Amino acid sequence: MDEQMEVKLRIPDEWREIIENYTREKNVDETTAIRMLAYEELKRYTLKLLSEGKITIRQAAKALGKSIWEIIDLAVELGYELGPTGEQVEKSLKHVEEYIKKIK
Amino acid sequence: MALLVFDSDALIKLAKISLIQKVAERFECVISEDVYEEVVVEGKRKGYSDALTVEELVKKGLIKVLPVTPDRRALDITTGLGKGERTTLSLFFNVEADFVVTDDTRFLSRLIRAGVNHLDSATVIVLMFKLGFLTKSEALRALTSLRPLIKTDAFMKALKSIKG
Repeated sequence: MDEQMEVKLRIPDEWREIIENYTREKNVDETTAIRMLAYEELKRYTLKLLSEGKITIRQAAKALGKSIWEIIDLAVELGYELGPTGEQVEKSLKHVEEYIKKIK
Repeated sequence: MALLVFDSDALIKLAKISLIQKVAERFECVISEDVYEEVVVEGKRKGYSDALTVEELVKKGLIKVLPVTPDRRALDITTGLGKGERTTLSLFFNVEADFVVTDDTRFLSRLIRAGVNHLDSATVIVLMFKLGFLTKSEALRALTSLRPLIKTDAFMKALKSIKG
């Protein structure tokens, strides 16, 4: 991730204590803390988009700075189902039947 | 022998469930250099031992890494997708393969729309069973291992196809 987008954001005062705890616990500054918290949600949302077929696994890997191996593991860990839909598997099964007919 | 062009995700899943060697022994398997990089080079760098299995199969010549010539049809079908999907599909056309094997929902949607023959990790197991390369119990065991890595409805369809 070479290029970075700059975002100015206002956060509710009520979050302050939580974020301060996070900065202490992780030993990071506030900006890094907010970025780390945002990344947690970004992971979930990216996997949701991937599961729905709105992005490819390569796009997900690039967005999260991970390998395809890690994306597959992360989806299992966070409970997102990846891979073809039932309908897509049905279509694949038709290709299986056609291939078997062709070679027999 | 069926000629299969693998995309990274399906190859990784079949490696994870320890089926890739049997697949490579029974089918002609080819991958692009991009897929080799994602599965073997990146996998090893991240410490995935299954990447070594794939590397070994490549060394033995059971999985061939081939150079890709960009194909017009592949470029059209994969518009808006990435280089990995483009090279995998170009390779499919270059070698006149029987199937592209991918587990990527978005890529599969494009393949289906374009009428390209495709399989996924679960239906590779079904194909092996139907061709007699796996017994019913072996196929069910493989599919059960794959269960956490695929969608529930996909698992159910493949399961039904094996159980009959």
